Amino acid sequence: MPFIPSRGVIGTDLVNLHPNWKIIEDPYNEGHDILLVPAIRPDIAMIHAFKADQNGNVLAPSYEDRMVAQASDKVLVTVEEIVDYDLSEDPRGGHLVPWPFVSLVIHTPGGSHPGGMKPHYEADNTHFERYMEASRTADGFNAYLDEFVRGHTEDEYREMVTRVAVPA
Amino acid sequence: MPFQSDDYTIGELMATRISREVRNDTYVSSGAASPVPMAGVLLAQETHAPDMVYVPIGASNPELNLISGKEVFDLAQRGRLDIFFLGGAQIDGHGNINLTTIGDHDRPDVRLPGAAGSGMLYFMTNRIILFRLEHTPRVFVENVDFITSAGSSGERVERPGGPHMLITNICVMMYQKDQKRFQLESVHPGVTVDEVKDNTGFEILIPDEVPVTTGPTPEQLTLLRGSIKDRVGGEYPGFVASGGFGG
Repeated sequence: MPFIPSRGVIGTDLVNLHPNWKIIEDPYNEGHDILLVPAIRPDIAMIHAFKADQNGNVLAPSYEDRMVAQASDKVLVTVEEIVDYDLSEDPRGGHLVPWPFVSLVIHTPGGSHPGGMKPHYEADNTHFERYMEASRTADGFNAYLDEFVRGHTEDEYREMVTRVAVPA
Repeated sequence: MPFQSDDYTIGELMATRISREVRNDTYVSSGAASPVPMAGVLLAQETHAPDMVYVPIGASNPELNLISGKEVFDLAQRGRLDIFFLGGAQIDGHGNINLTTIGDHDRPDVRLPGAAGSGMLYFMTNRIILFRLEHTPRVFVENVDFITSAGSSGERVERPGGPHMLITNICVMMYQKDQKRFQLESVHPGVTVDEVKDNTGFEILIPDEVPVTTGPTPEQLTLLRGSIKDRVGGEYPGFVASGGFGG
């Protein structure tokens, strides 16, 4: 789909921020304008999802995840669990991203932290508050990165942030 | 003087007024950070609108999370969403709302969460109820710094919906489509018309008689402080913990 027409939005400052959006006369509604938004083609998409199977099918939390995957050239997916059944046969509890739209799957339990991943775990608001406080200044942000990110593996990070409930 | 009542909280008063807008056999939805709208819609559902379908986007309670946000947007695009609730870091006298940036857009004083679909929902939902728990001149300005969604449109824009009501911690205003302005409908108990004027940065249409907002009946209060409080608390524990509901 090269572009999509959308209702609304005309007359907002959002239009001014996007010079590549176009307003044309609606060819099916004479005398009325319609907004056209061109497709986004990301080079790389990163998605955190519930599950992946052996074929690379992914069960993701929201319908947008499939749209993002279909639009992108490379799709990197981190997941809470790898399952041994075919997700395309049983996509209950999420939204299926079929394997042709998945480039790479990484098993990363707790990968949403400090965000939540219902029903696996809630958002870690204490950590968010700490991050927000740290990110008020460049020094604070750098100190945060040194403590939690730079030079640490995913396992070490998970170890440090104890509130992450990793599924069994 | 701010809102004053020994009988109910400001959230309960606003919820009661909101519930009157909800019609049976319709779809109603709300977004993030909307505990007062949720209480109002659930009150309507428990009283005069049992067959109204309420779909708060992203609710964790499976009994409330009936359809995804995509379906809410699709219903709105088809003209089938009767009410949606929007806030705004700034709301101006023409019904324009700002959820994007305060100050110069390229060097903002505050970067806000963003439109999150309001650019479309404001046009396509039959009636938008604007709500804020802070009624001050910094929120209610003559012109917003950034128009995230527009209160009105020219004749070349097909626009079935738009602003309907503005409810705050001190008053209720109704949007007058022909004049593109808000008219004061009622002031909350303890609040005067002059206080509303002083706390509003835009010009308000003020009728000769301005009644006091009607509070909840004992029956409505019982419902609000029972199962409604529990369900709102399930989604917004902070609102309940901070005394959003009395009793």
